Amino acid sequence: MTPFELWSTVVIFGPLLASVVALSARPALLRAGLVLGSLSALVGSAGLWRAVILYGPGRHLLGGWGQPLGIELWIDGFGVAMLAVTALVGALTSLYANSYFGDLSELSVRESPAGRGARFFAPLWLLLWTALNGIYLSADLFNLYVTLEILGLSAAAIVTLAVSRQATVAGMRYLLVSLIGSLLYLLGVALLYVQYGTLSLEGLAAIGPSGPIPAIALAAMTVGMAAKTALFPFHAWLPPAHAGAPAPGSAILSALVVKGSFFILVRLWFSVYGGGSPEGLVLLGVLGSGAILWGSVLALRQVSLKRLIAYSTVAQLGYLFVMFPLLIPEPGLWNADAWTGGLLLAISHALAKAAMFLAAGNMSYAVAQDRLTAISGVAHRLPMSFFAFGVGGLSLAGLPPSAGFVGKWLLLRSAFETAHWIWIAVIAVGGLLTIAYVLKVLRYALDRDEAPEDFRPVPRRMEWAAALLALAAMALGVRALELVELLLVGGPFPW
Amino acid sequence: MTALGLLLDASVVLLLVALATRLLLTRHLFEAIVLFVSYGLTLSLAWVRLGAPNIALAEAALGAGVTGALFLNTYQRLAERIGDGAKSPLLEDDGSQDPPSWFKGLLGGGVILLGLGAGWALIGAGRRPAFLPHEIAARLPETGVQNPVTGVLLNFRGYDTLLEIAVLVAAMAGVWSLDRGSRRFGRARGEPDEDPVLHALTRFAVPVTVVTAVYLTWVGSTEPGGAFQAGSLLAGAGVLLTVAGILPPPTAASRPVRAMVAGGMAGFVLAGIAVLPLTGQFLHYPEGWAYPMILGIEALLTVSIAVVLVELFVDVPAVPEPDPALESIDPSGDPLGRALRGGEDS
Repeated sequence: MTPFELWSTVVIFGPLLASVVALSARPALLRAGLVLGSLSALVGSAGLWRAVILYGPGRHLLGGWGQPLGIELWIDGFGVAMLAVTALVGALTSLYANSYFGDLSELSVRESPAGRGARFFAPLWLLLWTALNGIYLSADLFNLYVTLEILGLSAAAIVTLAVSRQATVAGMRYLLVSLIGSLLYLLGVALLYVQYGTLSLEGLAAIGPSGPIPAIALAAMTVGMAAKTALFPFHAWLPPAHAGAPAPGSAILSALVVKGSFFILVRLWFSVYGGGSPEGLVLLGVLGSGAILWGSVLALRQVSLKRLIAYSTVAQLGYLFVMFPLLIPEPGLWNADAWTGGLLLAISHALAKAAMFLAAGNMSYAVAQDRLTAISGVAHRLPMSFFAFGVGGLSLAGLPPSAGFVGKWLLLRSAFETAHWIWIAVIAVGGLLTIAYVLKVLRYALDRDEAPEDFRPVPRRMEWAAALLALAAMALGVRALELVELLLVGGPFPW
Repeated sequence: MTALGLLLDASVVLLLVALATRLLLTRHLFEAIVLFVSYGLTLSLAWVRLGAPNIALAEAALGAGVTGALFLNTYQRLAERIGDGAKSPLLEDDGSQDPPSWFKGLLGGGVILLGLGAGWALIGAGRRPAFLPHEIAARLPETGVQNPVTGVLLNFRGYDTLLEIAVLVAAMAGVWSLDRGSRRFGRARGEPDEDPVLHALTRFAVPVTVVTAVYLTWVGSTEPGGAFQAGSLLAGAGVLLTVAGILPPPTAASRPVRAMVAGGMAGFVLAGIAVLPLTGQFLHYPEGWAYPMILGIEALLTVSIAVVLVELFVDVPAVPEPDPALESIDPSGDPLGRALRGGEDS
């Protein structure tokens, strides 16, 4: 048994077994499930990180078969970096959720409607976590489809845990978009299988897909994954769903879930298709730029705190697609700065956005409202959450020494090197707009001299979880070199 | 291919297209459900013609049977909620909730273009010879089973099947999370049974179904069958027993029900981990252990699948009330979002 085989088993099946504990056992074991899931994700991704640095990319032949008959797990720097950030955000959000839902272990079935639903947060979230970890290690087209199904179902169910008709409608709409996206992806899988007779990503990369069928397959899969990633103009489902979910759910959806389908897009376009077509890469970059501008402007116009943060997700996801054209500036060349910069942005967005949603959750928990006008003065009562939101927001905007700064710097450098001025302009304008909408929230929170009167005390753990995530987003910039080293193990073209 | 075969194939294809078109265009929910079930049955006929009896069986049982039953169940609840004879856009769409026509045109055009493009490319392209089926046939003896479909599902690609069970568990947890204590299907235990036809049907059909399901699980290793088909049959028996009031409706509150739902997935994962120290890889069965382990996993999965399907049929999630605090939160809404929503939730 190699370390790859051991730790990949731990990181995928730990959370899965934890979901069984949380689902089938007595309520007192709900917390045990969250602890087991968090520990196995943290330990498993740390073990894989070490293994990848020591030995380079590795694999795990599930069932002992290997491709093309069986399914392989592929463990490289990109996948492990995503596993690690998911583990960090996931563990802190689990800690938060336990307090947010009123200590999960004390809920009984006969309690309020919200209590009934909240009992299923832990199993749903642990299944979602399994699916994400499965995506980051999968080296098989059809296996990715199955993980996407778990992801979509559990994510939509988490939205509807917020007991309101609006949340139910938003969750259903999210489920439908997600299913359509999955079906488009499946169509692409079927076309590729008919053409090449294999489902293995590595096998397909070795063949080098080209011609009309692979092109149609890539187009279908891209539209499907773009819809799931809420890439402009397919983003309309995101704000109601992400803002409608309960706070820990919003953090999970905005920070982590959208990254799953983004990961698959990167794997497909670069690892399997070797860059696809230059026109396609530019088109994705243009849509990403549209997302940055459209999402930021709409974020500025929102009157609800969570909607504002959700539109900010639409905008920040745009940066990840600006990476696509910058990564291959000319056929046959790839730019390492664009690769590490784009992915650092994905990672720092996960930390910062989770911090912001959890901090916003604390503010609206305290004043039982989500309107910006309602949180005025809340900074005086919740200094730590205010700090978490501010630091998270500044990290998003790309202020040093945050990871967002390092990511944007690398992305800008790659654009300078190849003289892509238009992308530079978009990145810069997006950063200014980010500062504007973050300051808008901070101004409301600081608005009055005295604290609001109707105020529900916020559990300390919820404040700490948000603050630690924000600190992680800031501190990551200082240790960015280690992440860059990790991200370059395997790089965009591992096969 | 004989002329008769060609004629049969052509009529199946034409029927499929006609049913699908009608299904998409009808504005009556009940008609749409009936068309959906007919479509599923015709599709399973198509699978038979393509020489895939396993998929035909699954399509008939799950695609047409279980899904159709779930749809009819939902229709019944909608009709009850709306009241006798009352009109509602939920049952009979008057077109007022349609998205704008430019949106429909864009979407329809895109789908047609995609379908035509894929069809054209598939007909025109030279294909690689399908080497995977030969590879599967060559290495099937090593899997411990003789049915290639079971070999793929439980051995070659066992990990996929494990995750598919996780999909079912996620769906179940999602439905349970929506359950807010609304009325359930079926009678309370001990309540007298008033329907003699239902009672007679239950006495006859349930034993036959259970025996068939056990047989399908058992035979899955050599012939078409297996946990998914057997589980959906068993679910049919479970629904009958619940409707007749002989079994209490399964609920999330009942610990045995939760254990049965999670049991298949848990057993599968534990089997995969148990072999890890012996062979070094997850789900890599040691020599000689493949057949008994696969049979044990299939048996557990059959029970889990059956309980999930019964519970999906019996459970009635309620739609919560609108939250007044959330109203008018989107005045500066996204124009793109409004187009998608047909302006209905402004």
